[in-house]
Amino acid sequence: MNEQLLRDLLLYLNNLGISSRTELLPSLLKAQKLFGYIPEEAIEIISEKLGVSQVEIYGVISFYSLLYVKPTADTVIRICTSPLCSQKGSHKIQKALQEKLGIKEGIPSTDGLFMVESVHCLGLCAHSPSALVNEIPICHISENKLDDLIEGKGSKPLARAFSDNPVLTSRFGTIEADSINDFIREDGFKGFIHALTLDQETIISNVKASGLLGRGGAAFPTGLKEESTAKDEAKEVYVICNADESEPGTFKDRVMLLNDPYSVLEGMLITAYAIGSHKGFIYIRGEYDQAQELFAKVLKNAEEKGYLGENILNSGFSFHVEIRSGAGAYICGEETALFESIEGKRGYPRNKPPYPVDSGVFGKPTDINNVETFSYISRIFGEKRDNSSTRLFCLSGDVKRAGLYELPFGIPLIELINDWGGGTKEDRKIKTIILGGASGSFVPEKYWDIPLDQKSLREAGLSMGSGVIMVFDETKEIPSILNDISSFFNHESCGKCYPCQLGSRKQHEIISRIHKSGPLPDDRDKLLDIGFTMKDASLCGLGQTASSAVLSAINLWPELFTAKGGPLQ
Amino acid sequence: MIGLFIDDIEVECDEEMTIMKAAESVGIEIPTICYHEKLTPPGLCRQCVVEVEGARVLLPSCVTKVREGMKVKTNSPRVQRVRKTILEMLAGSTDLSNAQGLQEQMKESGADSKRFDNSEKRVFPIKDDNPFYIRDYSKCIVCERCVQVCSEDIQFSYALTTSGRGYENRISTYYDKELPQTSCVFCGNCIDVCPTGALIARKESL
Ligand SMILES: Cc1cc2nc3c(=O)[nH]c(=O)nc-3n(C[C@H](O)[C@H](O)[C@H](O)COP(=O)(O)O)c2cc1C
Ligand code: SF4
Ligand code: FES
Repeated sequence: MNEQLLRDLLLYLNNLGISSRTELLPSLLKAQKLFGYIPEEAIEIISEKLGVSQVEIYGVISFYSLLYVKPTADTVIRICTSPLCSQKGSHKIQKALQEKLGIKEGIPSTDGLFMVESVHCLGLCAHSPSALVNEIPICHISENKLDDLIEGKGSKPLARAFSDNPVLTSRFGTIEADSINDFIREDGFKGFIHALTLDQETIISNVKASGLLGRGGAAFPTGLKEESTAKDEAKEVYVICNADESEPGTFKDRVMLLNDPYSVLEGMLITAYAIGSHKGFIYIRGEYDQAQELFAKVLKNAEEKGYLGENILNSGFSFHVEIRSGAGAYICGEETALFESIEGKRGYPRNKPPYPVDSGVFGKPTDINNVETFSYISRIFGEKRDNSSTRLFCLSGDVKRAGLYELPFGIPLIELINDWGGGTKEDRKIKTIILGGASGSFVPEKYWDIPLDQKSLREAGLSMGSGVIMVFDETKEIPSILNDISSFFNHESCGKCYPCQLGSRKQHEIISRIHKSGPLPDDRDKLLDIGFTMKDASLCGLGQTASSAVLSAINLWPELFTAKGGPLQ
Repeated sequence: MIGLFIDDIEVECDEEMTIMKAAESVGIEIPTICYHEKLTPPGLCRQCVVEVEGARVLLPSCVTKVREGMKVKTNSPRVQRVRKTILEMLAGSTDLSNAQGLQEQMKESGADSKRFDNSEKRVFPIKDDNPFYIRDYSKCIVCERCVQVCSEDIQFSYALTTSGRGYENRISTYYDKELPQTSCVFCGNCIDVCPTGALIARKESL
């Protein structure tokens, strides 16, 4: 055991403001970084300092994919195997890489230099196939460039957006993302300063009047949530920005955080002021190292300029924000699982009610919103007030220009794909489109020109979730795409509730068998029973949507699931 | 007091009551797996779900409180399909041979215990590492009751946790150590609450 590293950990723990369970995940991430895993000695120290039992810490570590109880390696290469990267051959690349390094998945090389793992969606879907080499994102990886990959070299993700009337993305490319002066020059904080002149009810009624619906997936009215949190007489109220972004096909929050992070902070400030909160968190997924670093600078700069901290701009209003890193668990994007994670626990969602507005993090009323939602709030009060209702779309898959688009609601789906995305590569036929990510569903061909607004989508039984559009051309096979999706849920189910814990596994077993060797006579009925059970009885949104794609596929292509159709490739 | 309808029966009860308790008060029994009188209900097995008019999904009756005018169906086709499928998937994952309660529920709901037989079961070697208990986790359904009693719900011994994630969730000690090397005090609470025979006292096993 390296005594120096243990002393470093001890120093870190001694310097913590509060020594309580909420510091558990940050402490474990610190230990993981220091040692490359979390040795027993580290657990013992952390247990003693934070007053959490050793066995619970062990349970927490084993829940999160980025925490290990066994040594990893100097260089850990994580290959994305979610639908988009998988369909572009990431599995084959991973295999080739492992062969080249002479190692098996998840097992470090004997010299401790390398380890290779598959991961689910790194938010680099516009540049697939992609990988993470330690914390460095590498795009467009290929079998021909394995040496580069091993050294952490290769193309970096582009962080820009396409739009002809940018509102949310108006500052992209015109400012240095970390420069508070640039942000202020481009009308930054004007919305917040304006909000400071209004009373709380007026702010909330403005948000309500804007018609803003949450952009994290559930499309809940943002103003209503503010109102319910503010109504509470409680002293302690929290504001949380959900930047856990892990839904396959979603990358908008990463791009927003890397281009205009101050706007997100501004939205949090306005919200905090409106609901009387003095403490906020931004929970950024563990794989977004760059966004975490940048946001730390943002907070520091804002504090120095008096936009954050005590008595902000001499208004008497105080607000503090803490960054929390995820540790590799899609479920922690679910709001109540995120609270548990901040509280230092396994990321198990809670039964609702109580709802976050009544009892959120630490049991206190909490207003949690998505990155894009907060950025949008900052525009509602800005000078160039704009209710033009654009939203961010993440376009990926077999299109010429995959990437982030800011477009008005109601744009027809096919127009977005063809006119903005440039259509399919080599002008192949579109095989299918998925809206909403892995938890979304296949769009029937008759709806390919559907206007992308809440109402039309709802009527068609579709949902765009976090704005994900995945396009697959005629060279792709449905069973293979489904296999990637069911594999995702099999890996990411938290396992708390039976329908999802058992259903996500059984569903994946059946789908992967259908993919390999074709369906058995009762597969369809089993998938329907599993699917409806997950949808109807799961505890949280993960399980409730984990069968969406499968159920929609059974509906659209029943022949793929009936035995007489014969084996499929 | 508030009023609601459960399976078309008019029920009057305290507004703090759960649907399950309200149903019980008029003689309707709702099946449960994870629920235990003495413990904080985790609401994880979802066997107790009921159909509430106007709700998008089925609701767990063990933790959902009654509301004025609520219309509840405790045994609708939707509910039956879910209960049966959960039991079938459970039987296709775990050895339920000693879980009497579950066997009865399977019979009751018409569940086919072999339906998911060609699915990968969770099988582990028996843990026989102390003079008092035998732990056979092939029979464990991860209801987490033992973790609850070992932690805040009763004993504060903190010998057990759930480790892993998803289908890989397991009841485990610290680093999976043998019980005598952990903070276990052999109070026996976990044995009392285990519904499946995964945890048994040594004398019973003979
Ligand atoms: C499995 C799961 C994962 C989720 N992941 C995210 C996420 O990464 N980011 C996010 O903003 N919301 C996510 N959500 C939705 C949140 O629970 C919550 O609704 C959202 O943060 C509220 O913000 P909004 O009102 O601005 O959309 C997720 C939900 C589920 C069920
Ligand atoms: S639905 Fe899935 S992710 Fe959600 S609580 Fe249940 S097991 Fe966990
Ligand atoms: S008894 Fe298990 S969820 Fe209600």
